[in-house]
Amino acid sequence: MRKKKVLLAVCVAAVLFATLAGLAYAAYRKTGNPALREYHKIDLNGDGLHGKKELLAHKNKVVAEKHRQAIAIAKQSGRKENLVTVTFSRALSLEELEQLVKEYNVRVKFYEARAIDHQGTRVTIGLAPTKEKFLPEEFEQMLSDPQQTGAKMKCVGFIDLVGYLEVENLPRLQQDPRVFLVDNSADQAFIDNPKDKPMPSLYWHLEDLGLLQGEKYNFKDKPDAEIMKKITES
Amino acid sequence: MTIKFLGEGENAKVKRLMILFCLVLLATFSISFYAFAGTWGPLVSWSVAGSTYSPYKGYGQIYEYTDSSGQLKISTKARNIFFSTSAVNSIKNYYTNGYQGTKPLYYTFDISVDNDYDTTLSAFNYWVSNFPGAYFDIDDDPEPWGNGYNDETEVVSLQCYNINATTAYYFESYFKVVRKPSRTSPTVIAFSSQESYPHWSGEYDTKLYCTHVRLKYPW
Repeated sequence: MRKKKVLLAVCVAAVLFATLAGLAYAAYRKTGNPALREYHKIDLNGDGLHGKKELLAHKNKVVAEKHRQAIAIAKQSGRKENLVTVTFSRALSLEELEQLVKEYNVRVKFYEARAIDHQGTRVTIGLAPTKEKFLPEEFEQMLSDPQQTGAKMKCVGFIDLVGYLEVENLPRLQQDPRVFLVDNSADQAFIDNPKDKPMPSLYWHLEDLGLLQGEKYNFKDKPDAEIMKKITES
Repeated sequence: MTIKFLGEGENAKVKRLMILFCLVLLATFSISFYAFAGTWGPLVSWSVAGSTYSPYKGYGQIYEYTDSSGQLKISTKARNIFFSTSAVNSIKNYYTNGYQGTKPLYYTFDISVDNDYDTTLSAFNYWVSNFPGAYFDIDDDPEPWGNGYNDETEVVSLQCYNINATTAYYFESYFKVVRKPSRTSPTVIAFSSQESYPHWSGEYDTKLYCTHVRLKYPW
């Protein structure tokens, strides 16, 4: 009789647990990936636009919370590397980028260059190091202006990278003046991200909001005046 | 005045050096020529939007080349993409108001192998695009774990509210040719517009799509 009661209690507990787990999972799926949800706070303020205030709040939150948590998790579980999106505070030269990667021992998945085409629009060029070379041989070919045969786009420099960084290097890389943010919030330490999809780069926001350091460059695809007003005042 | 002639030994040395120089020059030239001696496939254009958020014109083209290590690759190019004013407004509307309760929706251009189980091509992390707020992604379908070959490339325009009706947009992605298909059984690559949303798994997933052209490789 007592055995039956215990068995019944175990069954009820199991059903309850399964129901709660199912509900939590459904809620998680409904609300979406928490890291991207954080990002979309920058991307979507009350007007459906990203803003300066949200951008800086995101940066501060990542540095104050995610960096600290990653260090604590590394100590507890031995998770030594984090998936990171590093947005630079200005466009770097190839030498600067290579030097930064070496200095902080970043395992680079891919990195991006900014170019300006003959229309004056901003072009993003994605590249990945090969076994032989950091800059792939296709780069020159990729700079050919697609809309103007024979012409080359103007390469401004390298603007961000995605890769794996040892957690102990997080604070040092974040303090490097060439870096705006080392965003580790999409790492598996924090979210379920089985395919290691990185956080978006923030470089476009820095350009739009005039927050870039270093030499200025011109582009014609700025947000229109109405949008600019909203995002800078938000 | 004495005229100094090159001795027999010196002459041969100079000759050898000249030959060596020419060989090095020829080798360098051949390697660079070899690396980028690509061929262009046919230009396949479209002139109907097909959906409210899609560009009313553009074209797709494939460029095949061999890199200096001897690896055969293709670059899939979607170019001269133009949106009408009504498409620009539709993109803004999907972004702000979403669709069937899903928002925001981002305009996305996708270049993918039609067959999720394809084993001839595999995309890698090279791309070029002038879409505003470009976020690139390559993926291995079918969901959830794929078959080991990246068959999907896409650019999500995270600032799609800045797309305008005067700019010619483009997106180019790259695939390694793992096994070149035959002409009788080519690999089919679709060039499509999409409206995507941030999926719970961390990637941007398709809510709506509209295929503009399909290209065959080899052509």
